[in-house]
Amino acid sequence: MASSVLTANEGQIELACFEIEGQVVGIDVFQIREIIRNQETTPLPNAPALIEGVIDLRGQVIPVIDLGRALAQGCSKGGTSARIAIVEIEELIFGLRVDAAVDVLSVASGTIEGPPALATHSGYAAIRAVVRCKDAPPVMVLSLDQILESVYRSNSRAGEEPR
Amino acid sequence: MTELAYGSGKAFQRRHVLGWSLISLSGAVLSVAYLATVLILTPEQWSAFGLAGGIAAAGLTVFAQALQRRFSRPILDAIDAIAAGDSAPDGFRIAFARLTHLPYRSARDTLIVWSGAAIFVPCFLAVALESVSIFTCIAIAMATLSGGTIAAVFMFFGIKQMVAPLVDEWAQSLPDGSERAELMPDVSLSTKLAVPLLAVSTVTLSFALLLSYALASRPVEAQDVRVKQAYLEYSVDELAKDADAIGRLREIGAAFSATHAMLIIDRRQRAIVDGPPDGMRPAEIEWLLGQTEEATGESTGFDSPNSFAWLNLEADGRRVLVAVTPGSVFAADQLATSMAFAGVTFIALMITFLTCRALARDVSVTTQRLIGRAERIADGDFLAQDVVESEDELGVLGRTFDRMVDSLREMLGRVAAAADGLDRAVNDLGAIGEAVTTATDDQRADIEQATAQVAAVNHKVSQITGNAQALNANVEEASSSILELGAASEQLNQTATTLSSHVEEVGGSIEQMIRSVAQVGENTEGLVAGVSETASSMSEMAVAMTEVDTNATHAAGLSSQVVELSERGQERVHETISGMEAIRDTTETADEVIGSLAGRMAEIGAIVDVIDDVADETNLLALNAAIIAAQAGDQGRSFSVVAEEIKDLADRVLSSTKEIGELIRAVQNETANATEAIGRGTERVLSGVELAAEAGLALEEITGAARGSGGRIQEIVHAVREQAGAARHVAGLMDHVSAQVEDIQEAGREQERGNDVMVRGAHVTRDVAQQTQRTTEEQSRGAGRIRHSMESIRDTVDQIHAGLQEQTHSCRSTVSFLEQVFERTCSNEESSLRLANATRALGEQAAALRDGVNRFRIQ
Repeated sequence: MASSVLTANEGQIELACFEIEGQVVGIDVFQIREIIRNQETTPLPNAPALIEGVIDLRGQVIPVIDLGRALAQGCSKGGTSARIAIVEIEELIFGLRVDAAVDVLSVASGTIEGPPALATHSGYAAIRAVVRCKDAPPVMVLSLDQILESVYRSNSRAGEEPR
Repeated sequence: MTELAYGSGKAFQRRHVLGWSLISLSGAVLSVAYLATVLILTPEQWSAFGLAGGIAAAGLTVFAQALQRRFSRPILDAIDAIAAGDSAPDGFRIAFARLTHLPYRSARDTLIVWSGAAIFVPCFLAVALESVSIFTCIAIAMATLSGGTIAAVFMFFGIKQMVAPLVDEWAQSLPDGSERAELMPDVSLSTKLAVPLLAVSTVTLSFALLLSYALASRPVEAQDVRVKQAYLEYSVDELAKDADAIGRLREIGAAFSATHAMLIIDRRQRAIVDGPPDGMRPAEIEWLLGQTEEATGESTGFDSPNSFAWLNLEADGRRVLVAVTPGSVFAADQLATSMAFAGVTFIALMITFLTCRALARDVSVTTQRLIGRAERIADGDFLAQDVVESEDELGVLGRTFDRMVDSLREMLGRVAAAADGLDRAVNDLGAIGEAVTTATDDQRADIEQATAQVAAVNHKVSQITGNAQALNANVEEASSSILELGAASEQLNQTATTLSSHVEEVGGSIEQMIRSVAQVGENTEGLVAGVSETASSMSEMAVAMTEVDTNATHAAGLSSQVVELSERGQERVHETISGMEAIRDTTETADEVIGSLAGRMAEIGAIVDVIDDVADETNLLALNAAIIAAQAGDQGRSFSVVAEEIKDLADRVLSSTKEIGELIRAVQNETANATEAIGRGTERVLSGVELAAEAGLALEEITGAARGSGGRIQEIVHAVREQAGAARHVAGLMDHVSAQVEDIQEAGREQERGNDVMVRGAHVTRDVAQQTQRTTEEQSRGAGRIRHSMESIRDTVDQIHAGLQEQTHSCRSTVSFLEQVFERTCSNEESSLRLANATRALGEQAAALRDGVNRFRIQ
């Protein structure tokens, strides 16, 4: 199921890998525009709670989501290694704050598996695939659509703590 | 100067020109390799390019060599002069300044020359050939600039390595660090590290972007395809049926530069119906067939990644008309692209590797020498005179080392001299202490002897007093007897006038008188015995007095010796204290120097932070480049290797800066240890000053006590002499007493004779009444003389008694003085012990100090 989502012509997929709370997650490089250093965000009134605020990137106003909170892993730690990944899906551009940008990984389609059934049956799956690695823990490939969905569903800042 | 780095100016010049040429040639090869990767040039264009490059290279090289020759003239002259034996020629300072500036000057000139070439060559090509596009011109300019930048970077490191031995050799001849710093260029370590790294990274990345741009989406080609498309649409009606029309349209299109080749392809049969034109390679045709078979519809001409346009001739799309420029399709050939990327990757890797190696070598050679220097200093070797010179902060650090070594050497020399003085002072002090102890012991023994003798004298005096009292009692008794005698005589005298009636009375009176006279004789004999005993006691006493006098004089001499020795000891103690204070001053200087060293270390730490920032930025750039390469798909795969390498490089830089940071922290720890050690030394010096001051105090006490005891002894001598005088006076009085006693005896004997006459006369009383009266008068006179003598004796005895009282008092005061002297002597002994202890502690401190100093080799 997942491999049908991650179709690749040459049997190779490029993943940009990031670190969140010591865990490595991957995002398809074609969804990434660039990676920049971490910056202060300007809060946005009445925005969904998962949206931290906006930043000014070369004249363009871009909303920023803390990926750690969006994945319910806790806030990102900040510090000198923290980065913001600028991603684009369906002509929608936004930023994801991560603890560190690790590498660009080229993986063969054969090493990609679907997410565990137990995780997907709960109705919400931020992970769309898992990549097995030889000498390291598996890399979780994120579904940006689902993350966007959870952002839309999260209450505004005045409401409860988001999931 | 035993060995010269360059034997003559000519050798240096040859080496310089050779290095210049080799690096320039490498830059040229690099530029051509880049260009060949990005552009596909025709042989005609290649020859024009070669011609322009040759002209530029020849002209600009001559120009640059002229500049360099003028600049390096003083260096060559100085080398020749030194080789001829002149160790400090005129203009040596200018030559040193030029030598240290030479790498920067060479890199700058290289950049100027290549910038000139980057302007000249594209302009020449644009003028000479019409077929050259603007993109080609820009690519040539960028390739030349890239080659120039890299050549400049390597020129800097190459020339720097070439002049390094000469700089070291000449720096030894200029021992003044601040003068060298004035002559040398002022370049910070961060600039030196960041500029080459950033230049090489920028060149590599920009070239990679240019390449991907040239290969992936050529705006020129897109424009070309649009023109072809327009032309096809315009002429589709004419060529639909007539095959000959194709040839005609082909010629017209070629004339308008709209198309160079037109051909018709049957999609189903996968075959060329018309064509192929000349100049198309079989691989190109094969690729074209594959593309038209897969594609549906028509080419839009705007976003096509291809370099050709096509149009359906029939509604079912069986036959298509294709317009193409021969050779251009190959630009999209995957094999060629891969080869190009592989070439770029290899060259970029080589360049980054060489740059990093040169950079690391430049910094690590100086750092290693500095570490070696610091290790030798840490081992205490201050004699090594190797000057570590560099124009960046490491050079500043090296010069600070020189200054630190100088001040430490001076300080240690002064400490060693002070330790020597201290040693001598301690030895003298020890000798003085021993002398004081010996003298004090002697003094004590003498005083004990003197006390015993005085006690003996006292005993004698009390014996004398007893005798004198007995004498006094005898005299009193004699006196009362004589008074009685006097009264009896008077009575006799009265009675004699009425003699006749009182003859019986006379007889009784005479008998009484005879008894009284006998008693007087007895008393007088007792008196004689007392007087002779007194006289012998007095002479014994005089002998004892002389002995006391001798001992007291000896004690006085010892006291003055003690005073002299103590004063010398005090002088030594003052010298010791001033030596200690000099040590403390120099220690404070060392503390300040170490503090300035710590400040330098903190500055280097700040620089390392800057490098850290640059490396972090490079890391981010490399990651973004890797993402772009991944998005480019297979075409970017090779370039992602470059990005990976750059990222690794940045990681390595980050780990090196971490190591340097640790190194700096280690040096800072060492500095803190040194400060602590110096603090401990200062404490020791302070305790030494305290001990010396204590010793001084003890010596002062000794001096005071010795002076006091000297004064007392003088008093004793004085009192003893007075007493001796008094004794002599007593002896004289005793003689006088003796004479008077003899007078008394004589008078007694006379009286006895008178009595005999009286007895005889009594029998003839009446007859000799007159004779009796005369005799009685005579006797009365004798009694008056005796009474007078007795009174005189009593006065004398009173005087003796008073003298003896005085002497007893003197003896007591002598004893008390002697006791005081004894106490002083005991306290002297105590002080001597404390002095000896202080001296020993001082000697230990001096030995510890000497050990500390001996650890350093300074002479």
